[in-house]
Amino acid sequence: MINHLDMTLTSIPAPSQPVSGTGALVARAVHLLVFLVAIVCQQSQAMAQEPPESQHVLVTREMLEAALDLPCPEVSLLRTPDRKKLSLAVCLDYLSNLMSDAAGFPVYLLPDRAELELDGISDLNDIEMRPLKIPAGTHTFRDVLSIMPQHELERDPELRLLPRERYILLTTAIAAELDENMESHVYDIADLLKTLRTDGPPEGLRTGPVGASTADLFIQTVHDMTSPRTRWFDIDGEGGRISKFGDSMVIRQDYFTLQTIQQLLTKLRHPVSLDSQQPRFAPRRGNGSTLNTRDMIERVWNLPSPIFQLGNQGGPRPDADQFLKLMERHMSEAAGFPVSIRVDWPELDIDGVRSLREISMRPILVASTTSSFGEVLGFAATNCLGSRPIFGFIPRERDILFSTRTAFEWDENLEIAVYDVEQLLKRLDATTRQRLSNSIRIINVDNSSGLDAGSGARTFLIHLIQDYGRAGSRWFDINGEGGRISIFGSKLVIRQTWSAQQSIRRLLQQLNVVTQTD
Amino acid sequence: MPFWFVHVVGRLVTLLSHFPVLSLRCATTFSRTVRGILTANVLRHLFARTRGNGPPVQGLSVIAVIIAAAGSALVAQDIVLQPKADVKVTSQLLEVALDQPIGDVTSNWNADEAVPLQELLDVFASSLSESAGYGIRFVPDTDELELDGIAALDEVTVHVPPFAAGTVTYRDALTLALDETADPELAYCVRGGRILISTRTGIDLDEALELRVYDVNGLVPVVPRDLVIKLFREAVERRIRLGQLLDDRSVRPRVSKAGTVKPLSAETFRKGVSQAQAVLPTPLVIVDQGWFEQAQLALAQMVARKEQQQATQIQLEKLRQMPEAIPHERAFLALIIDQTSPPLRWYWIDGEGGKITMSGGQMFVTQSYSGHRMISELLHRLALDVAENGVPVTEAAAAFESGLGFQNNRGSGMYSVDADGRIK
Repeated sequence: MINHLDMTLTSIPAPSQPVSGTGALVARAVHLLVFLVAIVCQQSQAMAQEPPESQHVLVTREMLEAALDLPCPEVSLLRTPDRKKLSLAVCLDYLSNLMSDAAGFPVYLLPDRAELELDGISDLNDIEMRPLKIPAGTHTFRDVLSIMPQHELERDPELRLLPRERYILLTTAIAAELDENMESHVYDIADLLKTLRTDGPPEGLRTGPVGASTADLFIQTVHDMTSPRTRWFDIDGEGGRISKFGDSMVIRQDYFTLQTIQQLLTKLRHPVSLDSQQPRFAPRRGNGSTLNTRDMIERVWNLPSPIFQLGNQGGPRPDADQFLKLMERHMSEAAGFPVSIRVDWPELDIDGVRSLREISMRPILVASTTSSFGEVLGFAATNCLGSRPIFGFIPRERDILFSTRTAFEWDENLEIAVYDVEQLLKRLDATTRQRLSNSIRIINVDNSSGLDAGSGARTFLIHLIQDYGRAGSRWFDINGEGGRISIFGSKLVIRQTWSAQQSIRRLLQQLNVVTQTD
Repeated sequence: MPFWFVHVVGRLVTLLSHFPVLSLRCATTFSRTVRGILTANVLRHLFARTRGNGPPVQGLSVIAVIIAAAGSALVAQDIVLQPKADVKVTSQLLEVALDQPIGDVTSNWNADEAVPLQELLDVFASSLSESAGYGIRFVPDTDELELDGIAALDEVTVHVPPFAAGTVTYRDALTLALDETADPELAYCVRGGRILISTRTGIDLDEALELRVYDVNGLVPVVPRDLVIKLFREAVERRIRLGQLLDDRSVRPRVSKAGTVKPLSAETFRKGVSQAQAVLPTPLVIVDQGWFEQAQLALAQMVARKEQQQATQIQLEKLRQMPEAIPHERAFLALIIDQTSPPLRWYWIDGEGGKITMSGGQMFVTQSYSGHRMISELLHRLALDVAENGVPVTEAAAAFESGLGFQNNRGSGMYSVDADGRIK
């Protein structure tokens, strides 16, 4: 700055022609004034070049998406003594400020007034929310924005926070899926198609239409893994479309389905290996500043629970609120990072549960450390928390979900898993298939079922999973609703409930070991 | 006028010209206090007094010079802010202006308070004109609005969140405000050098559809010529059951005595295509440019001479003469339509709405204003993909190489039709 100013000063020459008397005096005075003006100019220009704090850059979709994936600080949306109720407007303001601070630019959470008014919502202050508390660093803003609308007290209509080009729109779930709100995204899947060509064509009707091209198989897999919840033009006559564009796919769908498709692509690129063993759990991982992952939550699920007792015979009955808080504390202590149990209020609402304190439970005593947290939660749900509705717990991406068993079977709660079965398929030759089929026939008491060893390895594997993966699992192509299964090249793609996925994973691992031994 | 005065004024003007932003700021500040006294007479009077007077008056003259410089800057600024008479405000200029980051115009509004739409538009117009440097107006489409009972835009109220300056564009803010309206739903479009505020229905009317040409060179997927030849040969080798197609007199190509093929009607063509797709393993479908004419010729020759092998040879020769890569234009048009319908209406699907065709790497699209924006966005995304992965080769190529067959080759089933209803 100083050097630059010196150059400016020296670059202004004195009057080249000498003048005499008053004129010379004035000229020098003016010259000095010019210097002063130059200094002021330089400083003003420098100030103009340095953007003041209040000046912001144009928000882009990329910036918004990046902000959504940032870890969220502690969310504490509670009713204060002076505030009789917690309104949606307050929650939006709170989250907007939180996101803006974390992102470094203003993040607007704006109501879609036209759509909301269609459903009778004219003022967000009228919508009452349940308190929401999320520990710092365990969830992303994307997670929080997905959870927050579920805490609406009267969930009519169902709301969604939908990222747009420069802001996030609060709209209804129905409007979020409208054709006008769909987006087209281009996905480069050349790598996936290449592996598919290497793997060879699929076999059998259940693994793809006869003669289907690689791209068609991809389209079918996407359809299978997202419908019927997502509407596709090719299936439902309305909804999204998939177009081929060389080795890329142009997919037009609503924002949330596009997120699911992105996750599916990631899983197809990084399938679960049947040979991999879970590493030993390392409980302490620092100050809890990193995000929780599904893997971490599932490991906590399998950690041994400490000895504890909640309530006693003859005393006051504990309630679900106390139990959940106690379990959160125990799990967080064992894990070394915050583990929260999220209440699935939309489902509980359906069953008339308005508060966790309404759910009184039988006393529970964990007398030894031989039970895992998952087993304790399962036991409590089955034996202590009442029978109507039947409650349950499942690990999710960042936390543990407390809901009803019925809800776990619902389409939106099904999970996608992709397994690398290349080696397994190679080992499932005709002899092995015949041997497995005979063994299963012997094991079956009624001897009515069996597997057609004459079918190909892929079809055999699919039948095996559908018939013996987990009792009671519903499959779309058998029951007309429920999970889906397909083989994409050498990858097994399954959409099922969490508990069914656990059973299928164990079955596949056992199958892997058995065929290796053979 | 003494030399030193000329020198100083010149130096000041030069200096200020190097700092236009500062000059304008100075001008704005001075304008509030000295606008009334900055006339040529006052200046002349002050300058005249400096000739024979002492230093105090000369000091005053210096101040006057500075004021003059600032005043001149002010005058310059005033000129800049006024709509230039010689600037023709085109739609392109308006589109650019709408995409400018918003100024500090909404910060005083409360998101919970309704604002008359006209007030919002006036504020936007003023701010846009100031930042763009030319006059920008929002014009109500009175005919359409009155049809829906809106006499003036003052009657419509909207909510505007207090956007921080520079974080969103004028287009975003305008869209958000208009999206709030219902019954009738209002929308905007840039037309004829002005921004028109109308009803959604009015903007999407057939009369309001506009033709735009998109250069899609390099975006359209290609089929390698060798592959086309291979596919064609395979089709012939498979002994296509042509009899079924040729037995149908309505589809049979008519051959004049001179040996040229007479064009079929669009209806007959569609029937022929569907039948051809039923019996052919689809290799013909991927040959884009004039494939049907070639097929017609080939079939006609087969019928006339009953020499299938010879006809095949002719076809192969024709294929060999094609460029190295044959654009798969039809599939590209199908992609554009598939990815935009609905909400866009296309004549070939809905019986009303826009039309689309392609020639020489140029895509001709007749669509509504919002439709064109949607198409531009889609093309932008495709261009990004091409920039990363190169010009796409049709999926048919991959299918052929992997030996998966073509019986279920879906998609690509779109045929462009020209303004006269002829299939291209």
